[in-house]
Amino acid sequence: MEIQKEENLDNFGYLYDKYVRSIYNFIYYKTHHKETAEDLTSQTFLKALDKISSFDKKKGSFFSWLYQIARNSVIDFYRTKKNCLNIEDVWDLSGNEDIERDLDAKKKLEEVQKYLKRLKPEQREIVILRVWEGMSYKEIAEVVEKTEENCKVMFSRVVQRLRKEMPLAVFLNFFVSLPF
Amino acid sequence: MDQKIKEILNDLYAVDSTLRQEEEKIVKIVEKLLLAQPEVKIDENFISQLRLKLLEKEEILRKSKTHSFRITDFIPLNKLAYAFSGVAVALLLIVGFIFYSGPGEVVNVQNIGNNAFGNIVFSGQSQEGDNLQGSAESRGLGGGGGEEIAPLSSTMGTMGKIVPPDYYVNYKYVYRGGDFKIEEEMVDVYRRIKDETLSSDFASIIKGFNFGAINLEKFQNIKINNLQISEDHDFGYSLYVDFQNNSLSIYANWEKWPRTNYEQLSESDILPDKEVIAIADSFLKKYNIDMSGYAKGEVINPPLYRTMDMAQPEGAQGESLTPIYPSISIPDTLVVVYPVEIDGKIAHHSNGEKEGLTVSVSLRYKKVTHASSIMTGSYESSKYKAETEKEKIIAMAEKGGLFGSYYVYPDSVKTIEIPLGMPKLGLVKTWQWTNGQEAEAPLLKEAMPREMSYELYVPAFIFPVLENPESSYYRQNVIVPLVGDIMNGSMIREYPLGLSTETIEESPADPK
Repeated sequence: MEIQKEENLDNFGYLYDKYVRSIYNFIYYKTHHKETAEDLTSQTFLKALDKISSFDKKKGSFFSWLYQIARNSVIDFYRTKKNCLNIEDVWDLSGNEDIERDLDAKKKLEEVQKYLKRLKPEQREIVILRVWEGMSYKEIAEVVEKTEENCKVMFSRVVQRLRKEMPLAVFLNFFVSLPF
Repeated sequence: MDQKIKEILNDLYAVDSTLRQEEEKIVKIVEKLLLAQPEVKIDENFISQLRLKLLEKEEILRKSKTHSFRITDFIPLNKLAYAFSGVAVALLLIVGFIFYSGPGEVVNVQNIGNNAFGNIVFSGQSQEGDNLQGSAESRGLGGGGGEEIAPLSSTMGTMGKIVPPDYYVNYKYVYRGGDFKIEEEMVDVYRRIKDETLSSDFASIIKGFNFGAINLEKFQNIKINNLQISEDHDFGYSLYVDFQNNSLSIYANWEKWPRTNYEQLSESDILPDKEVIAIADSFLKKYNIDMSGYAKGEVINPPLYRTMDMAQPEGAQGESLTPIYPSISIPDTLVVVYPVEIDGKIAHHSNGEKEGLTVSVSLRYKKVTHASSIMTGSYESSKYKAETEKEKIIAMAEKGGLFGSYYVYPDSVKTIEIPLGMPKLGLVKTWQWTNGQEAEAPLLKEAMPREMSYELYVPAFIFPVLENPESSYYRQNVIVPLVGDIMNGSMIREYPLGLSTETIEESPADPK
């Protein structure tokens, strides 16, 4: 929806209802932990509310602005927690790190995790946003602050890399696991 | 094929058409990724609670839109924002919440039913803060400032003890006002609402901080009780935020004020009341302090100041008696009080002084040195049955009202009548505790945890003292609450205790 700057505060409730689940999902994909995701989602929306007067629709949609806040919140969380500038999300951690992760997520990601971990954070983010969040490249571009074209090329290269790295066995297992 | 997968493939082929040749493998990769997508179950309670939290913050922001407290006067935000970005903003929001509302907004009063605050008890209360300058100056918290707090316990301190004058004079209140009516049988008692979540809210912002030696994450359910910050420049101020009582005080950061040798001021240093109030008004305006819950400011004249105009005390035969106080003593500061006003009624202390926000003005520097009791202006109200017998009320006033009457010396040399004028309806501030005092009202039991103190403003008749005798005695008003245990005669203070005439005659006071 079109938001006039001076109306942001009044529309915030509507915007919250519209985007809270997407933001939560996104943060969950980057943390794999319910409580952490809730915490960071709260932080994201509180920060957004604090900074609502600085939102400029000429620079992008409210949606992508919110994602940027969420993304930065996750980065800050892990960097503060691990006191390391190279950590951006749970994917950057080694398997033995003492960090909370939900068992369900851990199990589901078991097969593809090691391949996704090898990707650069920005590449992995594009995969998450495109495949799991179903965002358009235009929206992805605003979030990761790159051009649409760059995002498409990056995703294409990620798929090619996965095609090379994922062994045939994974696909066989994959076919076995299908219901038909 | 799934529509989503089709779209992803089309995007890929738009970038690199050669990928079509490997469609089968690519489809499998995408399907694998989709299958690996973590199942996210969002807690609907969490969504609701966060929405409520955001609505509250939104309201604060809305109110603080045009009246923001200049926290930058105290915190260099460019530095703090880097390290404590959420903290600085949260502080702004919370401080703003405490004492900001829009211009001209009335005090917020919510009615919560009859007798909701339980028994209104005046007898046996501590005398903390019972001084003629009001309670703002009485204690220091956090290094230099003063803030009014509830007496520690309802059983602490009972009867007053004052060193008696060395000549015995009895004072007798006499009502000289005309007829007055008591209009209502049920009257509103008010209780100031304290938001207990402010300290938790602020704590939640900083709980993630690890200060090296101390990691706040290790503490459970933390609350921030108070916060103090100071300006680092000449004549700078310190800000003390009391989250528990939802109050602020601003006081001189004495490290940044000139050291004086406290030379006695002269008469020429005394400012007219109008100028003192103007300095106080200007200070409050500068810091955008919301004054909608307060009446206009008035200067409280301390007794020492008044001794300037006193005649020397006389005995029964007109002989000059030794005065206790020096003839002239000019205070370093004068205090302006902005009385709390609720529903058009002015609040008083039990001693008759007006009760509210106080601002101390230094006569030496012509600047404000202290502003305290800056509080939230939200109240709950509950109706109570009022005392309606006029004769009973006058009788209580002639006994000295809430502050009590003076002891009647059997061998007094003189009796001075203190005339009381026609009363006005106002409020008297008192405290209520739950510790050791079981609440009868169900609402009170649920809402008030043990060992908590709450401010109550009780309707009272304010009898003005029409003429003060020419002595050390000084009171502005006599307070008679219309609700509470005082009407049972259970609150009588006696002055002095345990001193005999012989002692005084043998060792008269020797003024310096």
